[in-house]
Amino acid sequence: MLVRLIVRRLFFLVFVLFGLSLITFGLSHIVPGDPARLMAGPRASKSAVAKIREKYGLDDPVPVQYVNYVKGIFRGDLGTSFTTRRPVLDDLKRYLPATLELGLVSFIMSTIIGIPLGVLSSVKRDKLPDHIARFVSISGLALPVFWLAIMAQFIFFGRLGWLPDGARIPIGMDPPPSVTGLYTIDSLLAGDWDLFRLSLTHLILPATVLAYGSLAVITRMVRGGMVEVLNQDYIRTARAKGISANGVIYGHALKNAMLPTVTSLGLQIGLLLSGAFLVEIVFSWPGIGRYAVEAIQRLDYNATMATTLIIALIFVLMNLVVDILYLFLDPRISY
Amino acid sequence: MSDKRISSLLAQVSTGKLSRRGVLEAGLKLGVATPALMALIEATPVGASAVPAPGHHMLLAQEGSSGTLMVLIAGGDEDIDPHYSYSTLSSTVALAVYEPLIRLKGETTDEFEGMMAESWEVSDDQSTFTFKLYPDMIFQDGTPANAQAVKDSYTRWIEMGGSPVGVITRFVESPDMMEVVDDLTLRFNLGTPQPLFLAAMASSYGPMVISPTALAENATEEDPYAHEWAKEFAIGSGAYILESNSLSEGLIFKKFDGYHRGWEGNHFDEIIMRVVPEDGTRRQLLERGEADAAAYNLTFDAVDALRSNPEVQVVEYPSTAVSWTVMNAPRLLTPEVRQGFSYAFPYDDVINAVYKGLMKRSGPITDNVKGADPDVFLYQTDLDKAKELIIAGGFAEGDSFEYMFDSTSASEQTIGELFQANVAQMGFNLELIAVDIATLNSVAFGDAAPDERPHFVGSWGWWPDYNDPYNQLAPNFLEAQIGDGGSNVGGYANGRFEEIMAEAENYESEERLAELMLEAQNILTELDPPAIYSGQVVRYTILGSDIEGFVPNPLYLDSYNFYDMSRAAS
Repeated sequence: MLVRLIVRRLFFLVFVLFGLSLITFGLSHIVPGDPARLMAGPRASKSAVAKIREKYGLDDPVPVQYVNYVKGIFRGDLGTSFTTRRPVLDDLKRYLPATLELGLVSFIMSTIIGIPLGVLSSVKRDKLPDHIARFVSISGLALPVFWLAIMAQFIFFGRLGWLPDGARIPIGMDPPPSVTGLYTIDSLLAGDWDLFRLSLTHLILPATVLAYGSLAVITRMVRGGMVEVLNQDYIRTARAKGISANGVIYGHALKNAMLPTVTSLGLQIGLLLSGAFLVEIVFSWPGIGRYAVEAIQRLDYNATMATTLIIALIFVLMNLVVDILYLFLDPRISY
Repeated sequence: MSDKRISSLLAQVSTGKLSRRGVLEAGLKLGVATPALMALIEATPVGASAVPAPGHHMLLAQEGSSGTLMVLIAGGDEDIDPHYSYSTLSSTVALAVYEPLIRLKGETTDEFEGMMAESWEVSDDQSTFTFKLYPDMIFQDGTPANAQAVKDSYTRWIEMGGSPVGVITRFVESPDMMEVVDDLTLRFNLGTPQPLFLAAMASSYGPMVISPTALAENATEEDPYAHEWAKEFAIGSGAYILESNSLSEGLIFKKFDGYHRGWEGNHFDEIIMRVVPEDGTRRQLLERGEADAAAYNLTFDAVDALRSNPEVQVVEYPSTAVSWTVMNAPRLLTPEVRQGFSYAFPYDDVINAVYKGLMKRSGPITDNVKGADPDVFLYQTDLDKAKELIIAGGFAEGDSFEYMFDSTSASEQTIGELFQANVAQMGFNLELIAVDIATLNSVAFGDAAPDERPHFVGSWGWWPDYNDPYNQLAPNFLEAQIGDGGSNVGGYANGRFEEIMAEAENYESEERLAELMLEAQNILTELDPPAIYSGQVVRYTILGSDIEGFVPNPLYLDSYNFYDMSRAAS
């Protein structure tokens, strides 16, 4: 059943990516603008602009450009970025690990804080912990991530000086030898504890800001699920049988309350990746979000397409993982 | 005791990577003598941890050295090839790594000083220019920087046909016009009098000399000019070697030990240009002393606030750039209508409230460019007169107009709103259309018919590549520059102006140029204005209070004279 699920999802993934590429390509070409002029700059001569247009195939009809792009994908060629003037694939290798590291740490933070906070909130309903959790949730949902990022930076870097303003490590410092591309892990693998501490400290602010919105959703989902489950007959039975409070909560209630939360965890991946676009700008984080924003601003079709497709791919795959998790959490479920 | 481990410890102390406790532990493990260890601990900033202490890079400074200069930039540049790229940042980078033959002296726009050239001679008729190079100059790859190298490099500039090629081909159409007289002498035989040639050779766009050896080593069959290499790497004869270049993180330069001017005195050993995309973050880094410099990349409000901050210097200087709002000449057909809107513009509010004084009233040519009219006609806001002229030009009360501007600029939004209020006060409507820069460029440089273009395009302006009024006016107001990628955004055409510019392109005497430009400016302002001139842009560079030696130049916008700069001894 599991194999069938995976094969079926991967099969449909091809259609999802094809449809998405068509939409993204169409939309990015509808936007008025001449990437060749943007590349050459406003002061460049007409002939210099024409030369760039020819070099990047921008003088071909749009359908021809699309066909060439798709052909390139099958050859493992995602085209050349108009922004960086490098192969997009090389850019993705360079920028994607930074976003994955940021997203992963944010995801871990939002999960390991959000779930216990949701549980505490449901168990201590209408008491101080519940009010605190509610404040965290509502503020996390209400505050725009961009504003939160600027404020966090202003307070913790600008005023208090406790944390760095951004970047993965200070400029001029050599990154660890690349194994995974994630500096925290690579510095550990290299046994460089100072660099590990540095890269972790640089992660704290952006990851916390990025995690805050997801944490709010997870807390609310867990609380809602727990409140419902804690009123079920089997929980009352468990209590009547003398099972300890922790045993009831963690052994019986949480597992069942987690099902909707697991669904939302899959969706949170999308939220984290889209949130990274803004967080990476504020915190000078050299990730794929910042790369995508610059690509969109520069009408960099190839880079825009590639980042859209890669984010969609991650999103679909993560949701596949969630579906697989369901099978383990609730054996009654079948696909 | 391992030297390498000791060196590593010293490096970590100097960069603030280790806490005092960390230094103590590591020092004890390495058996460092107590006095030396105490000195190391003293050198370690209190609380040194992940957050470098303010001005941590100052620790690198040794006697006769200023350590590291940390410059903040908003983004990297995908192409730093000086013969191909036309961006402000690429010219800033070029002025650090490369050298032209000559450059503009200090803050002037019409005096020159030698860079690679020790001296130069100009023939009486200004058609032959002979440059004598400094002896024994080398490029950063160790190869000789001689007359042949300059010719080879400029041949590439001409033949590759990159964006700034016009800076040289206006005077040197073919490499054959360059003659290597001897190892240290290069002569340009231009054939006709070219009084602007020196100015062009001192431009920050193009005339940088790249090591021909490095180019040859990186050339391929598909890329004979090694552009793919030169867009990311650089080997010149300048004071600083480009050590790393990351579009998302920044650029690092180290001093070039073999630089022909030598390193006596106080200079920076290292320049870091760090990419910080967010305005607010750049401001905080400057305020906390963790960065030393930023050029024209903060908001006007932030600059205004920093003026009273004793921790920084705000260096303001009048540039050669003029900011204006383009008027769609075919839609605002008569000169009266365009004169009317010129009277309707809220000049004082824009200069004081939006630009915070970083703008000075001017016509289309600034007072530091050749041919500028010191008494150029300047419109003053007068709504009664404006309304009268607009109605005389064929419009009626209640008519609507469109004003397009760059949506990413808060100041442009405010300017639009101020203008809108004045237009409304006259009984007309001004619709503000905020678009992203790509769309704005598409409208401006596209081939759309005048009816499909807005009446006004804000956020516009220009500065010349070198001190030449023709270079300032021709791209923006000549008929040949309408559509098809040309930059005559408003579709302006004026017969007499065309005649003047035809003569000015190859003028024969300064006096005649001055006469021609007086008339041209009169047409472009009082008689038949194509644009509403907000004024001359006052650029700014923010520096740490301990930075010395910076000299801004009105033509080298946002650049730094890195070699001359240093950090004051504390």
